[in-house]
Amino acid sequence: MTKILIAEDDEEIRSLLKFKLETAGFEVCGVPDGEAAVEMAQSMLPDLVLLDWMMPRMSGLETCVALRKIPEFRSLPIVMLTAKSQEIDVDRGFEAGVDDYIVKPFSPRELTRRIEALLARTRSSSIEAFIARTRE
Amino acid sequence: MTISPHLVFDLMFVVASALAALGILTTVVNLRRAWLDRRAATRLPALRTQLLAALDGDDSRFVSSIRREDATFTALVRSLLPTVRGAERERLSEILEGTGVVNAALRDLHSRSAVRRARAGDLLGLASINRAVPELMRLLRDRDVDVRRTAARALGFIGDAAAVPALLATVDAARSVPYNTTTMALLRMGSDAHEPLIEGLRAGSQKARAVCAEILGLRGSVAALPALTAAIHPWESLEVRIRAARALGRIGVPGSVDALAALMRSEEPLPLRAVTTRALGQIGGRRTVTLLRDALDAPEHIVALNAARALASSGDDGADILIRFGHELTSRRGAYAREGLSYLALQATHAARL
Repeated sequence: MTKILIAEDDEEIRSLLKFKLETAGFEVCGVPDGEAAVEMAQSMLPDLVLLDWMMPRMSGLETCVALRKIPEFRSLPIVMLTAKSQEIDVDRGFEAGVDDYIVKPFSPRELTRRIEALLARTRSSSIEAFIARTRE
Repeated sequence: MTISPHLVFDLMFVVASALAALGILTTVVNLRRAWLDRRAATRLPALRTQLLAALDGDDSRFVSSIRREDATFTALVRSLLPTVRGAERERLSEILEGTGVVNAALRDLHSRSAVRRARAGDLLGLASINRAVPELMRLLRDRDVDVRRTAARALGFIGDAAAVPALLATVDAARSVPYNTTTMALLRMGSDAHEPLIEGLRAGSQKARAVCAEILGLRGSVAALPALTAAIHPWESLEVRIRAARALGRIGVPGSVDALAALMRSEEPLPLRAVTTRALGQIGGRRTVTLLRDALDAPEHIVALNAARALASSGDDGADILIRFGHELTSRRGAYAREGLSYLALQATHAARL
């Protein structure tokens, strides 16, 4: 089953995300801050990480940078879900290494669809890379 | 005059009794509050699960199990409403309607307590309850500033264009709403609000016209171009002209260039020319590049600086002019051209990092 790690400090939003993604057929784990997300990612090895930006202890941006430094997570799909909607914030998000950026208020259905699309793209590019390596 | 020891004793007894009673009352209130908080915390996980399930499927049993004065439930829905949009938001509003919370909030808009009025207005706005619009418009003239502010914000969330004239009226009213709150509320409204805003730009008060120009620019309303072009004429107030010029730049239609070019004449006020220079840069194109090149020679620092930065954002044509003038080491425009080139380099560095 595809595993998703959610880092979100607001318990109500975390519960909503967990419920929606579990209903969509994913195995979901939720943590309340960035530090816990980095720790959990190393033991859980998720297929995708969903990060809030503004969290205690370690922000979503810092968490993203920290995850990208770990070799196993260089190509891990990371989605930022945040209320920060300025163009410069989006720039900073992508600069830190996120693959998609979703602004709050968000549509849970749209978020699920985007996650599914991102996972499908990641899988197909991994398969293509594998085929290319095999041909070589 | 001597005071009898008995009287002193009686007085002390009364004071001590009153203090003891107050202490007992405070303890009881605190204990009750703690008990309510504990009860709410215990109920919350189950309530949350039921609410999330109700968002996805049949909610009739859940709705009938909720009492309208259930503060835990209302707080739970209130915390989710600002974060979600689309179908889930509509479902949350329907659930609030079904439990009677919306009707209770509509009644609370008439409460004598300002806190209750504000809280009810906030909830009705977050839940986008359209039938609350007339009452919220009335609350824009409330005696309490927080209630007025909440009503304006709620009207912005609901987005009913019928509320635009009432919101615009608050900028001149004796019981006003903070400017930023009104602007944000109007900005949050959808494109239905453009028509009344254009009307406000044509016929509103000076302050209201300035607000309309600003919002129409930020919303990129092409339909507002004729009204905005009329608003930059010299008989308008400087504030309206500045905001209209800025709006024309933000909308970015090349047809506005001629009207803006007329504002670059030296007899026009400096703040207006400074804003117009930036607006021309936002529109771009050959004609604006020529105007910006001339503005590099402007005697006023801010106009020349804005022209240099606007040229830096005007593609190859703008960059060519900056490079050509940048070689003039002794001229004033050469200095500004080099400033523009450094701005261009900064942008390139930023783009490379991305």
